[in-house]
Amino acid sequence: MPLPMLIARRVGPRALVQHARAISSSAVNSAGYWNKDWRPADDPPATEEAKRAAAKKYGMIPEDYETYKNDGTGYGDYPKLPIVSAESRDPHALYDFPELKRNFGEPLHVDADMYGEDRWDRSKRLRIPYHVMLTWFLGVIGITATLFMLSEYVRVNPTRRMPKPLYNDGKKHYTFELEDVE
Amino acid sequence: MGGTVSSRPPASPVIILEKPLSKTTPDWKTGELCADPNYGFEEQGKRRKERVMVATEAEMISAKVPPKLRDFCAHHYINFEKCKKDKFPFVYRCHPEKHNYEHCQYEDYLIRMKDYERERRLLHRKLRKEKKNGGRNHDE
Repeated sequence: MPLPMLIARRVGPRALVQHARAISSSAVNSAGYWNKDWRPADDPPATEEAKRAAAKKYGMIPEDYETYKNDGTGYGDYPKLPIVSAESRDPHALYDFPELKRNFGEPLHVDADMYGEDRWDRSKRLRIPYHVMLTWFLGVIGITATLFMLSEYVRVNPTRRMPKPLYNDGKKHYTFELEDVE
Repeated sequence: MGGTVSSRPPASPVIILEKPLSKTTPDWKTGELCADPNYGFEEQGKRRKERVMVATEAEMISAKVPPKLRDFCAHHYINFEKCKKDKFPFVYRCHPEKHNYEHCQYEDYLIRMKDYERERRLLHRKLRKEKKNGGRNHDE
């Protein structure tokens, strides 16, 4: 019995909904068993036919399916998805995996590990916007660094003493003890 | 003593305040004096004692004294280091040597502060006289 169905049974009243969804999403039923079987193809689909097949493989409609640029650093035929952080998703919806706010067979963003609930919420409305944060950060660090660098070169001499006399500085040094002139 | 080793630390790449801001602030960076160190003492028939450097340059080189420590207390420093080397690891037995060295540094610091105060008062006196004489210094 697949895992989502087991979960669905345990949550009780939701079971029917979950069960129906798990069956209706025919997404990745035959994709494979090992991690190498889940690997995306090396190149993006070239023909319209291949594109449709790839979209089906990832459980998407062909109109939404789009790949990353194939410039040598791309992700093959893995779909390019909009970034939706888990924290910004509906907290009251019924998910197959409520801990991850994910549904069975749902396509994942390629950097999905970065947008989990414990990570960055990209679409969050911040109390303080990023440019204000950056200004404050640079301001505080900048003022501190400026003061530090100035203190390296500007002396205020609070101790009020002359420099240390060294033996070869070419001057004569005297104590404050007096002796008679012969 | 003409030293072959430059004992001054290298100059900073940027110096914003090379000279003191005020006319009556002594030049604490170079220790430049506005008058002869014995000025004012000759009238009393007295003279300040010159400071004596006990350690010779050869001794300091042989003991590898760092340039910035080659001051008038260098002989105490050499004694202290020698004692530490002899009695290692029981360096606490060098307490008298350490005390001598630190006391010498303390006395040195007192002289430096007195020098500063003398220079400051002389600068004030010079300014006072200049004002009195209408910008001309008749004191020199």
